[in-house]
Amino acid sequence: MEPNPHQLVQEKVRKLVDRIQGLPTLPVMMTNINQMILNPRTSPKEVAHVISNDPSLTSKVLRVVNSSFYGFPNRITTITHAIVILGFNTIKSIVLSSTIFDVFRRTVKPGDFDRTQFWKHSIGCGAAAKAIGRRLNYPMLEELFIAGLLHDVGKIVMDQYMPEKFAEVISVVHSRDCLIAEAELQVLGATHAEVGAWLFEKWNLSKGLIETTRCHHNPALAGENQKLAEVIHLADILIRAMRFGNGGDNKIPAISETAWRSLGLQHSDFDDLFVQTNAEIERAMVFLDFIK
Amino acid sequence: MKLVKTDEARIGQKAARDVIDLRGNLLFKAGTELSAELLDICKQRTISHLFIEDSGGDTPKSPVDVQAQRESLLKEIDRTFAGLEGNATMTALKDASQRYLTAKLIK
Repeated sequence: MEPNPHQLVQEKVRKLVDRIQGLPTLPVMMTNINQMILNPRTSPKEVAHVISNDPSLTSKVLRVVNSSFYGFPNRITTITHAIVILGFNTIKSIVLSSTIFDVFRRTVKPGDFDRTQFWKHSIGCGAAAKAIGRRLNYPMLEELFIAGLLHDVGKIVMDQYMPEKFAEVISVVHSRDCLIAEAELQVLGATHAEVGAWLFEKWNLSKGLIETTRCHHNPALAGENQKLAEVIHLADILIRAMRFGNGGDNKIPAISETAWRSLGLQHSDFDDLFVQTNAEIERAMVFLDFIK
Repeated sequence: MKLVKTDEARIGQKAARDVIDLRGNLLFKAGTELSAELLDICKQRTISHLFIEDSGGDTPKSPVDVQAQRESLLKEIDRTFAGLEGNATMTALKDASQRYLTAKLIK
């Protein structure tokens, strides 16, 4: 029997990621937190104890929870307090973001893929997703921000673990002035979206994060996570239109007509979404501290 | 314009963008000179970073400079959106992008 298109893509991704040597596993601490949170008997103090064993992480989490991103009037001084106020899932998201920034940290040379611009694009996408979410009364703005922040992580995987091939991708982007996903398909046969989703599957992260990452260029394929993927799809395009950061190319993909209809937005909403995204970006810039 | 940590912003520098807190309240407008009091307010409202005008920002941009930057920006936007001319939603997005980015340029 002929393999279906999905199986063909999966096979290409498998061949691609087979070339990746030494991809880090999700740090044990993150795995432990994931398991602890699944247990309804886990107390904030127990999770705080695990996080507090890492002073650098503790300081980053406290910096974020005390930033204008959350905007609490009183200072939060302990991780236990932060968990009580913000909840397990929010703290888990902050820890996951910090962990990913750390796992994919490396010294860059002039001419390398610009990681600062990349993370700015990612933070901007998270901020735009929150602005769209507010407009739609989406219930979980935190989920939108993290999905936006991490949607392009496959690019960093490729840049770090197959740098020659990724440099070829960037070279094709420059010579053809095309979208990075088109160049990836030409050079590698699969895109950052599939590679990022594969990593998140390996790391046993949430289905929503996996499918949004995989389908942010084609949200109709995201199944039960379609709405989340539609928001991230639009956020990625809005932040390109705002020219904030850079994910590796200078082009903009068309907004999926299905997604646009499904979200129910109007063309006249764009101006206000830009203003609201700009305000969200200013609050979210504390996440750029993670790369320092 | 540059982004600096609020802790590193100096009195006398000028905000390059409106500063808004989490609840959407305008704290002060772009162009406002930072004072010790304003910096304290930013810290109290946990605003971690501020967009500050570059050192040359104290001198108003000449109309010729602004016009040249505007033309260059519009060309870049055209290039980014090339090939999407027949798509009504993308045309509306491009128009909004032009309005937003050129307004930022003038600020």
